[in-house]
Amino acid sequence: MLKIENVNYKYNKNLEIKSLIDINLKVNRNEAVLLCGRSGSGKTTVTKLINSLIPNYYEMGELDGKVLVEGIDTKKAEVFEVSRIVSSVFQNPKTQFFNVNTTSEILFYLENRGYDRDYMHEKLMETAELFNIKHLIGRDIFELSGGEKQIIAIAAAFASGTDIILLDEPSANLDEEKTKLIGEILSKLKALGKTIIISEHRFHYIKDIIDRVYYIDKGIVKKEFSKDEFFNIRNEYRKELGLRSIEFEHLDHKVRKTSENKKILKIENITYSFKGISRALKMKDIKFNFGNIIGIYGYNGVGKSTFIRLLMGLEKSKSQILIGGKNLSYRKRLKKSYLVMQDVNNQLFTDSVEIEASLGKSDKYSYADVEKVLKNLNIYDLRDKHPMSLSGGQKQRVAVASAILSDSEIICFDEPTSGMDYENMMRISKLIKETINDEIIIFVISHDHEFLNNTVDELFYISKYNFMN
Amino acid sequence: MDKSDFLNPTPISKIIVVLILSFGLSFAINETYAMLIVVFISIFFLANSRMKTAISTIIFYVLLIIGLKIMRDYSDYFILNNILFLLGVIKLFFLPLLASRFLISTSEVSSLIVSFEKMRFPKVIVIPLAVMFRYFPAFQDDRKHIKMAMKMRGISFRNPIRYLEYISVPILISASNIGNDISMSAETKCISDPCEKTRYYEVKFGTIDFIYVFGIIALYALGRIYA
Repeated sequence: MLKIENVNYKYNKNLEIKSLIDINLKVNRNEAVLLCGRSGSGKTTVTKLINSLIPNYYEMGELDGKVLVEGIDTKKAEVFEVSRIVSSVFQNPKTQFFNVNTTSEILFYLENRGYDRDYMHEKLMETAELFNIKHLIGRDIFELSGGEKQIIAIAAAFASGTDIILLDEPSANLDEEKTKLIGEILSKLKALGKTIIISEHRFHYIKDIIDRVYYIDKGIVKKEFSKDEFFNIRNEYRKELGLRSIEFEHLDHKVRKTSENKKILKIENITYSFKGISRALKMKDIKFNFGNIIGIYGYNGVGKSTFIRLLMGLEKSKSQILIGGKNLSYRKRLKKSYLVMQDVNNQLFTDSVEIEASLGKSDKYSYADVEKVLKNLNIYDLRDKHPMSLSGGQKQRVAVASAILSDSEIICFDEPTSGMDYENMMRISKLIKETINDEIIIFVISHDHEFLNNTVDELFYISKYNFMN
Repeated sequence: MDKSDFLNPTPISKIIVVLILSFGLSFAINETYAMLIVVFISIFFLANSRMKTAISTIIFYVLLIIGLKIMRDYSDYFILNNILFLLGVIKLFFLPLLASRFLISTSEVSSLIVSFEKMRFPKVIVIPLAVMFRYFPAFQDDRKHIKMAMKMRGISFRNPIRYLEYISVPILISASNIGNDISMSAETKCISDPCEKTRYYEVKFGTIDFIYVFGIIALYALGRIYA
């Protein structure tokens, strides 16, 4: 079905850095194959070899070796020729859609191939039936949640009718409920005889379908596991490989630390009505201790980010929020708050790490303090570099540096570990634990159980109909 | 068939209207008729369940006109004169921008592609246009986040040059990422397949196209006559 033979690849032919080294792999018909490895190991690059975006889309790259998809040499074929055999589902649900309407999106491939309307209608009905998504047909894609978008993306891949379905971290932005649903959908596809190739960090939800596993490290296929070998891997060994937990990790609800801190953040009252929805968020009498790391969890779209924005004063509301006994207006709260965003790229504005960290710096800190913070966060050596040239983890550190230097008391992290391997996840966990002190309070929005269990002192659950403690 | 579709003109009509109003920039038209054109397009927003856009558009335009009228009386003051100039520019480009917004926010990319193909545009133009078209809605989220981040850092428009310098970094990065992702996704959906494209929701000229295009032409022509 698919063969990759002795492939070496460089994204830039003028540089020495090889992204893939001597890759050999094979996928048989109706097999489900998992590609795993650390962030930046080359998993995504391999997926791009398979759908032939490499070499077709990357003009600067240099590809040695052969990729054969059903006997077609991808070097000699156009992307659309390979896409008649391989459908791709990408990581980010935001940027893989072309239409505003879900129906058009599911049928977009068939429209581009010039199929007639009757066939498309039939295919649409079949897809809706199989995926149990009649309620999602004919909807505005921008109104769907991240999980629903990802389901539409997989439904579109199925409707294409290709034999191979290729998925690049489809669960990266999803909560546990939606992740399980994606797992069920993939089992159905496998039962229908599809060949599935999936690159992932989370494994528990695909346990039932995976036949073989390739472990990729620094661009090399280091190991090949059978299903049994992989899912019985020793915990120590998988951490050594930098992999996330193999089994579903339950959230540990016990309070790990009760701070003796006198300084508290008290929410006397929050009321907020969503635009266009009748549901309002209401909260009363909730206390958080400074010096604690609080994990905020709940399903996708339940209002976790809204809660954080209200708390930080990024959103106006009729709220009474007391910090250290004082009722602070949203403007005052905003001055004391900092949010490290999921996509850190959206909050880096300047052309050097040092200037970035000092932008918005509190007057109480001097240049020596900037230096100290950068050193503590291990980015002092990078101080003259452009923030955009750094790795994802390093960018997060720069954002944390400016949070500390702006003298923020409330520091929030929005999904800091989505799509991260074990080591990077532990690094962020350590960073958060090192940042906390009695003068600040940290909130972490996450649906990453392994990360929450390793990081937070206390959990705060936000449920569907209002906020609950 | 989508129930709202019969109130939604085809992208071809929407493009024609954008072109008419853009070429119309070089001629002045009667202000009452300009206002009527704004109301006319707003009604189309309303018919396509964009009520908020419809109302805010009319309110914004009315305030713009009133602002311009009041300020004209005080145009001796240097600063006011600058603001007046800025408002004048906004007013000048308002109609084509509004029509473009209607085109982008209420059209499906696939119907756009089919429309262009019907007009015999070559693929090298159609595909980049389709990607561009899809960029704006994808950018919305990033735009919100960038605004939030600037608020947190205390970056405001009080220092416009700094503001533009700062905002350009995340915007350029986001644009190149989004553009890249969308084009790759489109390629894997066979957008470059040389066969003739079909469409599930048919692109057909209906009464609504007639009303939209000729309504604009009529209002514009009357506006010119009474200018």
